[in-house]
Amino acid sequence: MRDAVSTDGLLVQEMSTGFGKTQVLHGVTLGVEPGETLVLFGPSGAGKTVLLRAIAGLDPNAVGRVFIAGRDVSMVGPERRGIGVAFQNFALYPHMSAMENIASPLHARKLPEAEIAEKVGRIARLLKIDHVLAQQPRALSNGQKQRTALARALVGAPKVLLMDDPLRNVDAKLRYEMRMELPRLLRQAGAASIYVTQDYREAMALGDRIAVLIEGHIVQLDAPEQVYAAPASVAVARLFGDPPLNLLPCTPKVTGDGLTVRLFGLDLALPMAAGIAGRDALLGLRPESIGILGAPAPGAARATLTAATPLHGKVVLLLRTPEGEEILASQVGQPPETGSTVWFRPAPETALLYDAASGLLTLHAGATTEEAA
Amino acid sequence: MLELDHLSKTYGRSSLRAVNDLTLRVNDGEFIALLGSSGCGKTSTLRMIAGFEAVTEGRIALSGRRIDGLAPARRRVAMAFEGYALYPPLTVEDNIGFGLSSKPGLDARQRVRELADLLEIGAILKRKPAGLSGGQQQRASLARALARDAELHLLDEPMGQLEPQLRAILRGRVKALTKARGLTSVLVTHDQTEANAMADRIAVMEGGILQQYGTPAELHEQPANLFVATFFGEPPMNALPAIVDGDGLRLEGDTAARVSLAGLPLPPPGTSVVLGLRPHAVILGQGDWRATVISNHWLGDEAHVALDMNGRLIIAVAHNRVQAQTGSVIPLGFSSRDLHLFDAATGRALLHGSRVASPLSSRT
Repeated sequence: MRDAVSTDGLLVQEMSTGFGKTQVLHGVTLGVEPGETLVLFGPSGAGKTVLLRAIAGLDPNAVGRVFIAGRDVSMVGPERRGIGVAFQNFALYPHMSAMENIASPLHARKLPEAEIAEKVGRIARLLKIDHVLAQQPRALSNGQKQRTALARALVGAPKVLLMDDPLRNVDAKLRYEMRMELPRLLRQAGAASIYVTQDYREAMALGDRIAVLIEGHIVQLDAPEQVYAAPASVAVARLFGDPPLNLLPCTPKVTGDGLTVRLFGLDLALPMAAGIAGRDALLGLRPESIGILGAPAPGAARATLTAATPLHGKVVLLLRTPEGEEILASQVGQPPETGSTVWFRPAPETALLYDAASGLLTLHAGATTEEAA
Repeated sequence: MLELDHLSKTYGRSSLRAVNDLTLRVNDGEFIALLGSSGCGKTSTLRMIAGFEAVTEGRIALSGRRIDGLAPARRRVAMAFEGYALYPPLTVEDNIGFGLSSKPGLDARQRVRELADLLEIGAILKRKPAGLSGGQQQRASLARALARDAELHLLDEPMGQLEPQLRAILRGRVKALTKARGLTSVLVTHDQTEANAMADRIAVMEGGILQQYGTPAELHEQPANLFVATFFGEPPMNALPAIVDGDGLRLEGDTAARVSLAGLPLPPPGTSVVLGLRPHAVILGQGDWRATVISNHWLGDEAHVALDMNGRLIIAVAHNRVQAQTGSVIPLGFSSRDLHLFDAATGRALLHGSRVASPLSSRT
């Protein structure tokens, strides 16, 4: 985790807020560099939108400090912070054309008309809405509304850009197109951007880094691949991946210079980790790391294939062991017949081990192996 | 068997058909999904089957018995609805078991217990609905529907409020349960992942009209039209306007990007078509085309690569990491057996690989 940020970007320090007696944010601190996109990821109710509103200056109860380009704006009104916002419900002015909506932050700054027209035209072409600029919002499709809101947020070249799940209400086609094109757009814009989503794939595609917010706490702040490879807690693991990580109760034992976990009648060897031997633990296995075999083999356990469900070019297999444990595996290609007996091989090399009591990650076998190699 | 025959629905004096001449069969023991975005007509269809809406035209029969004139309670249909509330004064256990205890030869308590375990709500059986989370209420409602011995089970977005991990497991369990008990089920959803995961066949609806009815594999491999092709599948199919040019295709507005498709039964030269390529079918690193890499993301178990080919966006998915830097120009191509060809004017499918598309747009 990076603690210090350069003074050019956005720095949020010890941000807390709540409604009545319920505290929603617990001292959130994070920094975003200019041109960087930080994805704020978490389940509904985690406080993601609340945090954006606090940064934007829209939450009168918020306690904490916000620095933009080194300047403390905590006491500055929302419209004077130099922040562009694009929220999920578009929030366009219904009586204005798309053109006027996009131009509104520039009119507020009293720029010359010619300059406004030039800036609006440029951003509209970039977002492919230049052909609908004369339309009012009700005549626009959801995708066009969303891009209009984004254009309005970007047009004033803000130093900070806040986006609250802007692709949530658009169809899959546009969502993917925007997911692919937004990173380039945001890099060009050069703003320190925070992007909220509940979709882990979107988080991985758009984020230079991902901050995972759960119950008002940032529980992990890492590069996307690191969050996927080693979710910091059971709560993060449950949200990150589709199909999600298997989490299997076990009790690790010390064997030689490592740990052993007994599951499915197999002894799975793991590298040593301090403080987890003899305690209740959860072994995390990614579905795609579980090999499916048609015949018995060393290191493989027997199971029945309960269901095979297709998922975007893959097949998700729900396996049930004779002891009644359920495991999700995923593979590419034709699955075995439902109801048939299969053998599955868990891969301890990439396994994760969580402390059941705290829910925290205590061992990432893959990282240990890489360091040793 | 559930039979919908030439079913239509209009509201008030509007001539707009929310459901337009829908004919569909669901075989005994089959699990189907009505899939579409909001306003496609799936919910109106569901409400007509359940008896909450009058049928404007057409008929509905269940097990050979016409039901469209019957009161909902007399249709022998069990329902799990988003707004179909649990009885507030009853515990979850009594809600699930409601109406079961009078059945001879059925151990009602046993069945309630099994369903509660299956849906992970065993711990809240003694509680009343008011104190439960949305996800718990949803599972209690689903358990109540599945507990009943009905001739048809209607499930309306039954898992929308559950967290992803639970949803992934419950999809498999519920599918296995409906197969074990031979339940005939209709799932209504806007979520293609859910439909794909659970249904034997999927009916894709748009604008009140059935676009295609087929297995997930059929929808994927032989989409009947451009709508189904670009709606079903994630990421969506790449759709590239093109013109038939001799024994190949020339991409519209791009003389350089020609592909030879010798041996395929192409339409006459000059025909405007749309070339469809699934992201998984795009081959990176070899082929006749050149494109600039816009982005390249490894999402943990697959790579999503976006490319710009003369102003056209192409999305490719690979199951291994792709070594291609943003901004670099790389070759790409596809195997002709993976292409789809659509009539640009009507959207109708012409070719799937080397096979000529069936003229029937749907199958009942």
